[in-house]
Amino acid sequence: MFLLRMKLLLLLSMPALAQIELVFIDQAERQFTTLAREVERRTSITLASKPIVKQSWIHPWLWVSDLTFAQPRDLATWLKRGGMLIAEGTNSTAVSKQLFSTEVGVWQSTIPLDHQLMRSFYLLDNLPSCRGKKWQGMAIGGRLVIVYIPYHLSRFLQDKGQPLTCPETTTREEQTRIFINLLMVALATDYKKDQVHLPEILKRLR
Amino acid sequence: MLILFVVAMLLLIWRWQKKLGTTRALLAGSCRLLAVVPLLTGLFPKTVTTTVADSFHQQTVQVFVDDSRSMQAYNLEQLVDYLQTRCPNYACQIQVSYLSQLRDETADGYSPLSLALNEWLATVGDDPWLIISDAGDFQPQIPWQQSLTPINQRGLILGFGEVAQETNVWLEKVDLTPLAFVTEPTTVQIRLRRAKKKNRQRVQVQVSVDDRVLVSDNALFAAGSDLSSITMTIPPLPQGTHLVNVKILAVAGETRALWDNQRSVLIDVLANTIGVLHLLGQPSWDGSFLRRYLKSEPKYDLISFFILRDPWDKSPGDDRQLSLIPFPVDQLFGTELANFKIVIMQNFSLSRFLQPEHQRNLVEFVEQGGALLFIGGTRALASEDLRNSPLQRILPFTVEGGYQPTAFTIQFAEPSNEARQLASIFDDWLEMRDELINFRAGQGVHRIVPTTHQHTPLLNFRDPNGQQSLLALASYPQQGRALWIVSDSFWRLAMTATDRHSYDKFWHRAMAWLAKRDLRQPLVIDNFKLQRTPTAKVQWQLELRGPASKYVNFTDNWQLTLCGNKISSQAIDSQRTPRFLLRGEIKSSQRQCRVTIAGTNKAFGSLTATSSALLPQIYRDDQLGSTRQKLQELAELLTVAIHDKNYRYAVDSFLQDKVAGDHSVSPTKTKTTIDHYWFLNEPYYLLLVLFLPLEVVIRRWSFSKSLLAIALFATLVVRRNMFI
Repeated sequence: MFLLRMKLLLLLSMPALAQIELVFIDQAERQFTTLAREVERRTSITLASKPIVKQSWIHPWLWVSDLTFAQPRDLATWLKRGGMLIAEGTNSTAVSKQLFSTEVGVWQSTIPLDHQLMRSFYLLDNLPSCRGKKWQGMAIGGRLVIVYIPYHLSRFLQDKGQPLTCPETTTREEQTRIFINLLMVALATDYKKDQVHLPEILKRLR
Repeated sequence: MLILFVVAMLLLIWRWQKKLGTTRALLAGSCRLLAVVPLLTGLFPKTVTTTVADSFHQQTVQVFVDDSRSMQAYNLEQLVDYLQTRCPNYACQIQVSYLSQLRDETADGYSPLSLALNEWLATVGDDPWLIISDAGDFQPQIPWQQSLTPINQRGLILGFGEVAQETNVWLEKVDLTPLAFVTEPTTVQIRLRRAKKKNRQRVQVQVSVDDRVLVSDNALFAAGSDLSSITMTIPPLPQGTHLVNVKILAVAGETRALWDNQRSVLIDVLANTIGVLHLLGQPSWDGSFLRRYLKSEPKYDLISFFILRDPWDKSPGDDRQLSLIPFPVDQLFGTELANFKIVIMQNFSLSRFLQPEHQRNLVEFVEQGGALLFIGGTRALASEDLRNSPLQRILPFTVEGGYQPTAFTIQFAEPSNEARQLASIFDDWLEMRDELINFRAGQGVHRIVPTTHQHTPLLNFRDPNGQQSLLALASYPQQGRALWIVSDSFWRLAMTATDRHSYDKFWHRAMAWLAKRDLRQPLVIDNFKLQRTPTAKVQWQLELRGPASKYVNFTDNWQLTLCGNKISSQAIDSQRTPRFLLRGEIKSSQRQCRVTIAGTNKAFGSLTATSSALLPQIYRDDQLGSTRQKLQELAELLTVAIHDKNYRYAVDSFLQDKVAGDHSVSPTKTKTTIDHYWFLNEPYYLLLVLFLPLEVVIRRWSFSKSLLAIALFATLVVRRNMFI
């Protein structure tokens, strides 16, 4: 009862500004009421249910479907400042052409199983591939700055979401967990890595 | 036409014969005939094809030609001529710079390419450019990255030089963090290459520190691979600057190009790392950006405590599917807290996550000399943290209302002189005045009112209604220091300022003040560089900064010591504007040098500033051997291609892609014209010049007139170009 009261107080006192907003570059209308509720119920993060639709390179987290956007000349600068781009869709050739050309970080053609994305909140076994296409990423100094998802994760998770034809066998729960892990990587970076090194750092500090 | 001409000539001679006699008439007639012949050629015009630029603007192509001794085996002039010939076809002209013109050392058999290229690249601007070189720099062990600034990518390298010896093995990269700590070993990551992919090969690598071999190990090339890498660990080193030398021992048959078997780097060993405990109440952009800054600084040993899940949150399924582990709160806030130097509480509510006992420990930690960085946010300054909480003991303000999502701009506070001296961070931030004043993306603050005089106001915020309130202040509870920033939107500084550097600088200055490391050193030596010359001398240069630099005067109580030698004031060339630069020349055979500037002044008392730099070895062209890897490194740095054969084809492709490819110019076109005066470009014109005056002399023969005629004739012949 006490915890519920605390949660209610916290939510009432929390202005909209404290919410994490999804920013989509394309113009499609989306609503994420269920997803926002799930994120709030499971984590300390509050996700805005209504995403922003704007090509705003001041925001650090941008989502783009099928790479249908005018890539700015200073994409590399945005990424180096702290930006993170989530590219979802099936057009991986376009991904390679546009994103490889940025040449600012190390491109990983497959996100490895020991990556922080696999354990930033949930312990994931794998990241589902789509028709042989795998999750890819680019890192600058160990920080994931571009993530390529080979299917439309956000369309699946939106309210009245579109079913995924690929990957064939997946559930909303599985994709919600993946989304939460992605959210944690964006906001807490490689925080989990520190916990592994905790005993060693403490020993050094003594 | 010819018949008419012949008839006219015969009539003319007949007339002259009557007047001048037969001999003079025939002579004058012949002269007239010969003089008129060039004019008759106008009846038979030539067709001339010329190339004409279709654009008023001609693009300049900057060409750098390495004409050092090692390049003299190649016909570079022919290549330059070819470029001259082809360029007009692309509406361009070439501007050639030769290494020998830029640096005198070239005449002594050295190739000071890194120095010359740096000067030359600075003049290139946006023009397309071409480098013709073997990249055999006279300081081959210094990576290009340390000496060259990359320019536009409209360039090409035409690479020359001999092929590497088959046995050659070289160091491709040596990665060593230039900062280490006395208690920690340091790792060096080494990448090696070999000229030929042959059998399995083992080479020995040595790492020496200050000329003492400390580590030795074998690196292995697998069969069929030309790449190998090895990581070596240097044991903890004493505090100070050390010269680390990595060396591959020469393999059997490797007789040339041994310079590429070793590389030296300097490492600064500091007293110790700074322990930082980072508590974040909720994953957020502000937390993410701050964490990235903290992780980028090797001097911080960072332990983070992020609240990813509140106690009331519940995930479907088993908690064992979560990666969350219980954080050792008792250990950290009980026994370990004293080992940290700085605790960061970011958007964190103490009362929700720490027992009162732990909160008391935190407050005592600050009072006993620790440092606290408090950053606001929706979860910070909860009412429980303010009422009956141990934190209240060190809190220098009260809160008016909760967190407000208002937009704001930043203004500097106006602390008293006394308060300002207690918090030098105010002056450190003041140096970033433009960046902070121009930051207009602030959003979300707490309104606070100071409750004690024991604080220094640092920054204010101004909301859209023009109301001002404190945004940042410093306090000094007993022996500790605390910095309070009541907004969680400073991450926006990283996304809106010219570059992320402003954001890092902001926190670097805050952390330095908290760690009691005064950034405002009265005298700092910057950009200390040494350059060996072929005459066994060393050119040095450094920059002085800091408030004491204006008092530096080597004729008075100041002394400059370089490589162990005291430098007299006459040997120092100084320049005060726009930066305070000192330079000069000394003799030294050392591999690294330390510079010390020491002095006394009434304003500062006694002062000492020091810095160290490497003194790279230089090589003559004939000592270098193959420099293929340097060529490759240069191309990688400048992000352009190398062509080392089919140079003419490469030149044509370059002009097509990098010059014509730019739509600001149009390629040149050809134009065909009829030239009736072509004889003026041939020796025939001399017939006109010689025989016309001669005819006049013959017809009007008399002594005085002939003299005048001959003088006129001579003038015309000598200055025939003007006549034409």
